[in-house]
Amino acid sequence: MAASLGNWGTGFWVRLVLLALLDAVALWSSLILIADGSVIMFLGLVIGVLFINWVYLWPRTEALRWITPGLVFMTIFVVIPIIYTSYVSLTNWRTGNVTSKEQTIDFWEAKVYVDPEAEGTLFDLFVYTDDSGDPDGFKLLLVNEEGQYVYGDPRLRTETAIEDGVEDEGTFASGEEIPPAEFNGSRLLTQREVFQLSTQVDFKNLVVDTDSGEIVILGLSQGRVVQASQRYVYDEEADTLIDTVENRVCSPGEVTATKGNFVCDDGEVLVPGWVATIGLKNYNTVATNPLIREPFLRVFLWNFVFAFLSVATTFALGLLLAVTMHHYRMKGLRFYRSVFIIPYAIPAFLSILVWRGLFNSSFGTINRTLAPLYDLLGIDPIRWLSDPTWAKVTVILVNLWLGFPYMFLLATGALQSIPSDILEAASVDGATGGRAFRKITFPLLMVALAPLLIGSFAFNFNNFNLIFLLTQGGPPVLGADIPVGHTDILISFTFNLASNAGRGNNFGLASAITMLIFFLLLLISAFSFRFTKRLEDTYGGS
Amino acid sequence: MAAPDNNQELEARVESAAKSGGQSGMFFAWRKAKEPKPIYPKMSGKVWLRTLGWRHLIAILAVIFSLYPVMYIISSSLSGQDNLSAATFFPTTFDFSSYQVLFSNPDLTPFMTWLRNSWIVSLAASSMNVALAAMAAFAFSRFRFKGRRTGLLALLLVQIFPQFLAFVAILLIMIEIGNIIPAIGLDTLAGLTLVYLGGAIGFNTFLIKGFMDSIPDSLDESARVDGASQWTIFTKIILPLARPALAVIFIISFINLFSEFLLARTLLSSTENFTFAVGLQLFTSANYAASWGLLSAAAVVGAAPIVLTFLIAQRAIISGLTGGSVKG
Repeated sequence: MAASLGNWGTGFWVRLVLLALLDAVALWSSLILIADGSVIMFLGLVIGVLFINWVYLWPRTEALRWITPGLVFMTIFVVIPIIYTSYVSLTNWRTGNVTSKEQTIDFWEAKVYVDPEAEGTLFDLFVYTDDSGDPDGFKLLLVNEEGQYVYGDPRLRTETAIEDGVEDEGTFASGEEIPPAEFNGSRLLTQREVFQLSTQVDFKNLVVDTDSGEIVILGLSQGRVVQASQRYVYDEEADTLIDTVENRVCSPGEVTATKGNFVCDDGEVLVPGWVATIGLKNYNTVATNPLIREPFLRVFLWNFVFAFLSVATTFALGLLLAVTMHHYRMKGLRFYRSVFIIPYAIPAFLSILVWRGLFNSSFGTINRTLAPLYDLLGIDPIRWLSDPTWAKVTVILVNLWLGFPYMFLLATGALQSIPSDILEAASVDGATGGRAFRKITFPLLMVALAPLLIGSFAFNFNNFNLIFLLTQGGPPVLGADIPVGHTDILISFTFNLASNAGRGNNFGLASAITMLIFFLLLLISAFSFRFTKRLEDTYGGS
Repeated sequence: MAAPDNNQELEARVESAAKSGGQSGMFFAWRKAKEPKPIYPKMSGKVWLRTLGWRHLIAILAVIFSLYPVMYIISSSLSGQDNLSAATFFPTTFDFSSYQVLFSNPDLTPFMTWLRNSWIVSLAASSMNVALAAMAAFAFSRFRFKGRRTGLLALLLVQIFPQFLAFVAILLIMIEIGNIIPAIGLDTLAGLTLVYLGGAIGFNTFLIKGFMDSIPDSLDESARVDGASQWTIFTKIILPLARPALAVIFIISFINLFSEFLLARTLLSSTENFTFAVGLQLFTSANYAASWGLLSAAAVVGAAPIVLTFLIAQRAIISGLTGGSVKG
């Protein structure tokens, strides 16, 4: 193994240039990380980059040089996420608790209090745009009764004051049109446009800084000069926020329910708070809170039933077809195989979306095809996707279509690999037909296929695409405290917890359930390990 | 765990256990390459029915089942109608207006942009994935070093957990990365590609290593005697010989990524960055009954190249899927 520092070939120079580039990017990134105060990420970056440099500069690291590129990506996007998931599952990370404690304190310290008694001058408000398309590219013109105006950039009340927010100050001459259609090169927005802008910008939280104080925006048309005071002051020594208006002290929550938030001595919890570790609380919630436990158990149970039925139905059909076609005089095998492979070849998300249309209960082709049958039996059309039980049947049916080709291919392969002399010997002993299949062929098939069936079980256990694209987990379970549906499996349930905008994201709880899935997968793998060993001991000769 | 000298058996078992929709150490070939066709005596009609007829009947029922939705989407895509209730099994018209809308890449639902995004991301991620996995596999197959066995086991342990399960953590990590380098952060195709790139490396490494193990060492030896470097051996000997296996793994990775939905949905947020799966899902969830023709045309355009690839390369892909050529 020659390559080392001593080798001055092209390979060495390529490596050196790539390393230099990597180090440059890493240096630049680490500066940003330091500025942001992300200590853990900074340390991770430094260690990672030092490792890479060591691997490619030190002479005797031959194998690692080949492994490291793949290892880096696997570490960042598979290993670290798994570890990170376990960390997040121990936190209260959710809507309202997404920042660090320092950021939370900054947020509360930036809160101003406006005394309703102390009214200042009232201004009319006009909005101008530079038509750059940038949502922040608007400016405010504030004019009082005497025609004095202030023109400039607003800021959000939660942001720190900007030095040069005011671009222009002065007085309109009497007789001048107020507001002018164009001002300092910017165009006056129509009322309609202002209204539209107000859906993106929280006008009531805007402030324009002037020399004589803040002009607080009161709505879409007015602003007022006020003497705004800082409401919360952070006492670093006592680690408390002091509310100067209501004269109360707010300290970080002690019990798990309020950890990550300041709790005032009158009992009010200040939201937002920060990300705090809360131990096993999320796991506890799943286990004990009946409003979460019930839906969780329902999902958990169905997840197993679904994965089992998925494997059982697809394997049954695949095996039936394989056995049917496994005859030495059967013709057209190549054609049949080409057709059966099509459901497998079509990208699953496309066929699932199509099936969803076909199963549509009012317009779908399936119910239209079955219409005569419904008439004959005098029953209502089946609501394939919105009836809790039928939705489950639909999920299994669609999965059967998606999954039987793979099972057919597996079973065919396994059938062909069974030596024919075994079956001949059996037929000499009087075992033929069904008996030979039950006693010899099937057990041999299972030895070969059991690990793959368990693999398929694990795959279907997390078949997010099927559930989410077909039913979105629905129909919804009524009366549950968290969003959950009758066909939800753990991963789609987790996805809803993590991304359901309406009820807020609960990353902590979602991660706790992800950890449970990880644990279940470990169990399944361990089971697969032992199970295949037992099968081999029983049937496998070699 | 098995004794250390029981290496091969252990690996085979670990590999089977590692799920992934299933590759095993099982070997099989669809049909032997060239076998002379035996001549069988003619059957009478009755005998044919009893031995083969019912087999064909079942097969034909399965053919209908397989093609049922396929026929519907093909004919709806040609119906020129967006009405779900107008769908028929066989095409009755040949109206290409749905395709025209599709190819016109409408502003609000830019199908072609989504499709292009999917192709770019899946191609880039799966090709780089296979390249990096092949390099790692080379090391595991050809070098003897400390921690080799542990490394292989670790690879498989990690791959028990599908990457997408950790989508929350990946989202949070991508937010952080985006703060430092926005070009590869949240809501970028480059960022999604990097995430995908990391996804199946462990398992692919393992598969490719299995194949490389079946390439005789003596080839490297003689090359080394001639003064070839490791890099030369890798690129000039091993890679060309491993090409069939690499191609299959590449195709399978590509298709998996092309269909990936959860991570793409989590990480992408602006319409022009959507992949085909994310875009179509949002498009259809708006209103099914009213956009059926378009959805059908989109499904045909999205699926056609992949189905064709499958049909053309089916023997190689099947043996790859079921373990044959990959394990060697």
